[in-house]
Amino acid sequence: MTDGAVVARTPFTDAWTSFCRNRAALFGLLLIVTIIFMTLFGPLIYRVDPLDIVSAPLLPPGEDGLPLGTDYLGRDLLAGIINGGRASLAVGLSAALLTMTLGVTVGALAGFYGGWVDRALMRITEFFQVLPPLILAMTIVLLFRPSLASVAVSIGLVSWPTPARLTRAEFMRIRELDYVKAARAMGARNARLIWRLILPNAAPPLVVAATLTVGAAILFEGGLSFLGLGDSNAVSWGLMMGMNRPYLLDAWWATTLPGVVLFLTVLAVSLVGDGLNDALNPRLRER
Amino acid sequence: MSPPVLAVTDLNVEFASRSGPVRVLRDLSFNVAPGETLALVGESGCGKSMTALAIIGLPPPRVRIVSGSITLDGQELVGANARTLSDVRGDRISMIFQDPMTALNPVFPVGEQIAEVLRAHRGLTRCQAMDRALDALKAVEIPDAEHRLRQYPHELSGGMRQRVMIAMAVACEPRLLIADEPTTALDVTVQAQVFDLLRDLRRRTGMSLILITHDMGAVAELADSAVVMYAGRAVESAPVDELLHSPRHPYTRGLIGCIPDIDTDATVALTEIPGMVPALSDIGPGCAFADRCTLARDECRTRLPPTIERDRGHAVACWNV
Repeated sequence: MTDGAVVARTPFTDAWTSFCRNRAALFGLLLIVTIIFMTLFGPLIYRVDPLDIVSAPLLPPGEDGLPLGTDYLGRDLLAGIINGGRASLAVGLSAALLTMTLGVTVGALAGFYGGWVDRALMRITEFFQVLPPLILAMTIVLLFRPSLASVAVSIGLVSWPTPARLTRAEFMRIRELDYVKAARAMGARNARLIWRLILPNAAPPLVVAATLTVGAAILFEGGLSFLGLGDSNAVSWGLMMGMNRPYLLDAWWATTLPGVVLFLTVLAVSLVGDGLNDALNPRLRER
Repeated sequence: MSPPVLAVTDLNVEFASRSGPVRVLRDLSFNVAPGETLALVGESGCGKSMTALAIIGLPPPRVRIVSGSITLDGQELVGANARTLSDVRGDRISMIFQDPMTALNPVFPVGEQIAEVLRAHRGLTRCQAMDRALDALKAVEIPDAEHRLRQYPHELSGGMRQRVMIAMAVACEPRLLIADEPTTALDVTVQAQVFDLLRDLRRRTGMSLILITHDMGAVAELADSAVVMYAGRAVESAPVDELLHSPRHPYTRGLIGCIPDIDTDATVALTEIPGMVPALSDIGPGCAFADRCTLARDECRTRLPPTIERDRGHAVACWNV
């Protein structure tokens, strides 16, 4: 045996090795790190207020010393893109967190307990599933004052049914496996079965779903802002696209550039999600 | 005689099938004395595993105990609440399963899993529990236990995993260990080691053991007494020597006839029991074994033979005895 010389192999290191073999996923990870770095430290390096009018409106990229030009009010586009990432990512991440928390909780309870708990929770889930998400989210945002928080909450409230169904299915499957029965036979109570046995074993598809939810939430935030339902005091990529849309024929860059950044972000998140799926799903993992 | 550790009395268990209730265990009674090894023997589907699950209070869905009593050191377990039962399980009664390959949680090191059982039942701190887990691994004779403690189930062989399962089961020094076909999934040399280990543990800790098996060889090797089950009913129960040397029920004789004997002429054909175990829903009013029995008479098909104790704890349910 070669044990001792080798670093301890755990399911996590196995997954990491497998993840690193996937070039697209590594590229996505690199892209995400870059974008996060840009949004966190960009404003400290490129010190222009994204709401200040710095020059004539709709200047093309490169003119007047502005790398990406200006928008319809003459505000610096590069500053907008750098600062807009904060709102997009913050809303995307917190909405995804809310989505997963709600979804996993509901799905876990329904899948573990079954019976009337399952039936009741699934009817509620179906209620949320049949409503058109964008309309529902718009209604929720309008019920409150549009702000980053209300946008995040509204996205969370319309997206949780998907992870809930996934979690429920995983719980129902794993609940019947031998090691859960064996743990029960050793006196494990429900809380321990849920937290120590079933949830960790259900984690791989949930991690993937969480990643993809982040991408979807960023996109959703972009959509809401584009429609003017975002927080108009916080610059975000979707807001920039929406505001500059009427001038698309005169100044394509003002709409397109924030769109490209948004696209790259969602693409990167999806690539990572895909890579995680391959790495964590033992059936897809090559031996 | 000291009072039994486990007493099962007139246990009746039903499965709610679509076409009505099916009796899966019928008037089952047996006792397990302190330090005794009792074997539950029979073919697949005769109710051995169902008996074990009923004892630990985890019947499968749609299965329920209709009547009867199961007492552990005098404490009634039938109808006890879920909390009481989960306190008993893993602490005073433990169970190990057929397939050690799937019975361990794949995402945690085995030491942690043993420690969890100890923490749940003994309220130990993490460190204390890990120390005890190490002792438990040493008790089941796992070499290099300090190293194994930190390994994941997928890094261990089948025999090792079964040892880990046993370590987990006996960590709290239960009064009774139920082993459900503990060696069926293992190869023959490992089987012998696991039997040695079980025998040794029983001797050291004084626990009682219920061995569920279809293997008469295992019964001969490990058990003190045996209950032969057929279609949910105990058809014969006796001390093992008695059962093996003078089996009375035709079904028991059939089971013993299936064991090859290394000393006899290889040209002597092994006997087999003709036919198959009947579906539990198709059993008539008579003896369930009647359709496969060479001695069956009209009476066997119409009237259920009572269980009658013959001598020295040897009880048989057959009209022909």
